[in-house]
Amino acid sequence: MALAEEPHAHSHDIRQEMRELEDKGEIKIQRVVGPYEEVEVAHGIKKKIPTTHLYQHKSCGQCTNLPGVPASSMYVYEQLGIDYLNDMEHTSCTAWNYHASATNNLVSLAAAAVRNWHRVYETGYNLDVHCVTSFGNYQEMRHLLVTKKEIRDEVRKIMHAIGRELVIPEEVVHNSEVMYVLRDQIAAKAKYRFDGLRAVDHIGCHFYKIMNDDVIGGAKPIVVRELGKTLGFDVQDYSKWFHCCGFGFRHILVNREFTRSALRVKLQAIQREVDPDVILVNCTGCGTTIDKNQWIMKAVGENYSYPALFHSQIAALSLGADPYKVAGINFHATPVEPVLKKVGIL
Amino acid sequence: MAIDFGDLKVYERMTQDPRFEDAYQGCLSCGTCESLCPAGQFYDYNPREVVEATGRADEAELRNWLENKIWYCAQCCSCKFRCPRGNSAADLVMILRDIAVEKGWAKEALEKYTRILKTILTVGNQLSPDMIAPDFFPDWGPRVAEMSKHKKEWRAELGIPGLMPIDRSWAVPAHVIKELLDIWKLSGAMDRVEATNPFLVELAWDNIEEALEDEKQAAEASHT
Amino acid sequence: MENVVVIGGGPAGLKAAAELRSLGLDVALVEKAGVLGGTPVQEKFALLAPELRPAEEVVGALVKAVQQDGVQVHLNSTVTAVAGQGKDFTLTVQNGKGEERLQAGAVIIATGYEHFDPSVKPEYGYGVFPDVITSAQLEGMLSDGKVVRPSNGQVPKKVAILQCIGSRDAQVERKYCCRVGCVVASKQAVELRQKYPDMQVYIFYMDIRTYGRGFEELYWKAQDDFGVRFIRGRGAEVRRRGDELLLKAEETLKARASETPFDMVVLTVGMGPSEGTKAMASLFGLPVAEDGFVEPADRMLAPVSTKAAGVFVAGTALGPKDIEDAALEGAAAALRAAAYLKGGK
Repeated sequence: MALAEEPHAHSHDIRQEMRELEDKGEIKIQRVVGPYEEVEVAHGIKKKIPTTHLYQHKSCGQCTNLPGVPASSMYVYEQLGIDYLNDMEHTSCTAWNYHASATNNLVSLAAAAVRNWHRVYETGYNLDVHCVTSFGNYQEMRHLLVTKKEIRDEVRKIMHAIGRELVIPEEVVHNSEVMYVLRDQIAAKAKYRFDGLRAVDHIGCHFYKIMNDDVIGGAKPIVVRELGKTLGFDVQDYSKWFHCCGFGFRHILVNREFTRSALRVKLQAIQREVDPDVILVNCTGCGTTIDKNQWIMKAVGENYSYPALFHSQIAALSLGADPYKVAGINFHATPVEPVLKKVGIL
Repeated sequence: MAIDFGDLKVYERMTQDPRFEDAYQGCLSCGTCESLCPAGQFYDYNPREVVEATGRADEAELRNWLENKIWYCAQCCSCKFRCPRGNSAADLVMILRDIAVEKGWAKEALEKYTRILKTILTVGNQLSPDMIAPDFFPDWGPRVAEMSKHKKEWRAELGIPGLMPIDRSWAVPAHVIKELLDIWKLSGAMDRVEATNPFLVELAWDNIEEALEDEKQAAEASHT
Repeated sequence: MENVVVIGGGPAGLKAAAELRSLGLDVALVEKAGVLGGTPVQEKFALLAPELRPAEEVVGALVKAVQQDGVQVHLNSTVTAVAGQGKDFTLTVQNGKGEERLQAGAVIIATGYEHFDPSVKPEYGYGVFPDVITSAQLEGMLSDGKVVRPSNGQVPKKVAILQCIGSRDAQVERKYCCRVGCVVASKQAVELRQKYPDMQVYIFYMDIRTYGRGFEELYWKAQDDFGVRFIRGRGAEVRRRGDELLLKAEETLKARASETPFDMVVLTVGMGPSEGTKAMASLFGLPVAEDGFVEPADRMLAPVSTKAAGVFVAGTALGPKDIEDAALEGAAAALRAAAYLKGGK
């Protein structure tokens, strides 16, 4: 009799396996600290989204290209009286380099993840990942560490050599998931609303395509659009929502013709179908690609000027953040000013 | 670029990779991956080929992919997300890239990666504000020049602790960078850097030695 | 006790009830809906593959046999509890008026299947774009004699039928084949081309599986006589552009991704266990397999028996199949139940 076998790798609750490994003494789980909200992610699995003691796991792409994005996250937490930690003792996750060049091998990638997780654990804060590349990578590394003994063993050895332990967080949470959970609190304190502005959202591929069973919204993520709607945006559908922005990890550096071509397909659909005021994003790579590559489309006779605004930026701006000194709109290549003028922020 | 594959059995080497078990299950040849693939839209590239070649253990085809095609993939993982068999062409590509890097066959593909690697190995970040220069990103439009010019003052205006330096994304301290270097050494990643950019390895260790010394002196100075 | 309760009034249950009567047993038939006939009647099946006979003619005959043979029919009724074992079961049956108890020496479960809900896969736009419909909805339109685009009431000029929606798909935990989708799509395409000779009909498929007698011939007929266009590739994504739907798929035999405009997209939806099948499996403590359908005592040697003595099972409660096979299993289950009551094994 062929009774139910092991469930498909993409849709199981990894936390159960983590607990079994913990019981065997193979790993240590970092559990969520303090209050959290439980949200169903897939197949009845519930994910705990912490609402305080948030470790700001920064994004190197954001801090370099759009530093108003992390600044906005911290501003929102300050305004809502939420405890967070802006710690310097985490490194980049190195997953951008992995997907672009493969020069770092899998074990080094997993070990870099665990080193950062252990650092978070040391501080007693909850992991709050700003970057979608890091988020997808941490979900994948957690999956590999839990399901592949050989990786676990190698990483544990390395951790011991550098004086750390194999710690895996119970929840790998993205900053946009936290903002989604806080959306009503943000709206309640909002000084500005975005009523009357049309938006589309573009969700980073690695937010949901690497591990599809552990993000809010599952097959069609909702975090950014629901936050946007709560803050007044009229968020509309467009046909190319699933289409990659063209970032491509390596392509944005060494093959920008590809990046521009892929983005153009997306922009054409957005313009034809919605022609919004803004494109809402949650991903470092996408936000950068969309922001920086619209001007060049003039070369093919097409005009686009859709500012790319991150979830944290719209939250901060609605709470009254300074557009330059907090949201950092001066770092945007596609001007944000016209949109902020429309709603009276500028 | 012509690769001398020697006696490498590509398929066999792929199956030894821990990612392989999740990445390949068998293929319906349904074309879902290709339909959704952004690389397939602009290159002579079809992710179904690499999945089917894996299924057939087709050495000639897999070697063909190793030569060049693996570098077209954008790693968006749309194929993985929608494949009705649960395959991941994106991960098969990563396994093949892994082989290419390990064997030193990726020099051409990695030509422009020296700076990123150097940044990781010296400051613990993959990017830094001083990399965003108008001559490197002329296609990003006129505002890049402004950003580049004002990078220090604008970052100071944001007032976020740790976000002031322009040679790194945030101020990762030296002893943390040292941990990352140790990870790369112990995991064998440093050997791969050696294979493509040998001078970087020496530079990284020299740099960290100095940075640790500076950190130590700064700590002593703050005590006194 | 020489009586049997049959649960489910579709082809399998109807056939079982009629055969039991022919063997001289008392039969009660419990049906959740207000009419007999099961899914073919409730979803208004048009012609049946492969003979292109009206469903009404076939299922109508099965219903008539039950009505004429003195089967005690309980409509709008569900079994909510079971007590006893061996040859002495008491079933609690809930209907609009209240509860009643039925005594039974044996029970046959024929509670059927339900279609896959394609809104689980947002890439097809089902429930968002009105002109994306299921094969079951198309069947209803064919029965009603008019196939139109729900968005504008016009007859579509170009239709794509996408195979294996909710079948052979690990992403939605439906790894199995629905077995009838290929012949149903061929049949629907033939009906469309018969009725609207100017309509272009495309079928996007991975494999054409024509296991039943006459199925392959119908597939050939669709190609030879009706010019139905078969494209080898799974429909990957449907989006809307203005008034039309754009279908993304790879034409795998050309190794080329395509984006083709259509007026209407039909999703050939897979079969899963019905709520009733799940409920009865749990009520009678029957094991279900990985696919969610009831696992019989032995798939080859005791295909309509279960591990519970006196409990038999037939039709699509055991997995996807066509009406022919479902009725055949109903007859087999009737025979097993009768033998059981006569003291045989």
